[in-house]
Amino acid sequence: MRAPAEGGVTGDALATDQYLDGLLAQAERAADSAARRTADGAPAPDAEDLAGARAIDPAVRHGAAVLRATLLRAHPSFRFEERLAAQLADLAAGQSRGSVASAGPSTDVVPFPVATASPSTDPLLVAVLAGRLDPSDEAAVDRTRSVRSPARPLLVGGAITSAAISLVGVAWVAWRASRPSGARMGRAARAAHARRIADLAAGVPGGTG
Amino acid sequence: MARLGFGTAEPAAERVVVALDRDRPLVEAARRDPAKFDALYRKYLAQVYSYALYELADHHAAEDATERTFLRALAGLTRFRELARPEDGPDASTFRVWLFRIARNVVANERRSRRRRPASSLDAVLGAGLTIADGVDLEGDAVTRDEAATVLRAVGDLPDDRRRALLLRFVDEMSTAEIAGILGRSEGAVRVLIHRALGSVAHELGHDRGSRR
Repeated sequence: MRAPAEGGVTGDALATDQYLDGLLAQAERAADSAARRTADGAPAPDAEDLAGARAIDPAVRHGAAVLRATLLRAHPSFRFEERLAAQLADLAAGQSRGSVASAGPSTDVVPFPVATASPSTDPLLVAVLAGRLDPSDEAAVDRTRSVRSPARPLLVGGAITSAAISLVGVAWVAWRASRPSGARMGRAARAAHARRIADLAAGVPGGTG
Repeated sequence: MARLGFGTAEPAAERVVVALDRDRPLVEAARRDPAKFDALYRKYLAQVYSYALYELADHHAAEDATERTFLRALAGLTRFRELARPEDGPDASTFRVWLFRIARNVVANERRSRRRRPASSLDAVLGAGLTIADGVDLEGDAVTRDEAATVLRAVGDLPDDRRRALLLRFVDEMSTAEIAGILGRSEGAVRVLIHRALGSVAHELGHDRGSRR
């Protein structure tokens, strides 16, 4: 096998690239013309017939032919294909619902559209959905580990919050927990408590309670 | 197939040829209605799965990687920007490049985490399912099952960038320009990566032939 000098590598690489273009295109054409060749009785095209083939080391040509025959495209199982299609459909439906919910003034709590693709399965999906991360960005590789902990994200009035992924979320949950409840029973209890304090301050024995 | 769009309002001499991403209609449909992403998913499922399978040498890991790739792609579709250039050629699909950049990230992360666990070899996993019949004749060159196994071993032993470039070229039949876009390298660098990867594979095949004589 030829061992090209560093300076000649670029030229050899270009020649190899052109040869591969021909080889891969030939494989595509082969399927189309197989029947025609059989009918005509014409021989199959040889690898040496390809443009620039004679400039390529025969060992490299053979290596390329073996790679072409070995690295076949595979298809996943039908079951997997349909399961993932269903997951994508769920996510798509959630995205549609989410965009409608966030567009309006409603303060309804809307589940984040990751019911089937939970953040524990893919910790980066939440960040991608929130628009905080471009999944094609190389940074997506390194950020995976920092967002490993499972979160329970929610859409509240169009704003995303999650105690597990955001300090603002932690603060919001703490603030909300300290706020008085708006329930009828809670309001009654607070009113009774306020009256008792007022009666004690006014010197009414035993208060009103 | 890509189409070429011409600005109709411009005078004939100043018309600018704009290469159109062949997936633009599908991408725009998916942006309007996320449910329409299904067409892109069906179109590229086998390509993404195959890339993941050869990279990870594990059917289940390849399925997981495929799942993550497509879910992230749908979730982040609004961030996709079409960057097709006329020199990218008539078959350029910048969506495909963007999708495979996501796949590259997912697979790279999986490979990184698998380094801590014993990994199976490519030929051991795929060898059983090799569809190469002994003595099959392809492009006028006889390819044997032994050679196929040697090639899979050689591919598995390649440095990361060379292996990725070779797989994208042979399995997904991508152009050098597309691979350059996915790997974030120049086209010249990608050509050299593939040339050297082929040299390594040819060397292994020659070594294997010599030892069998």
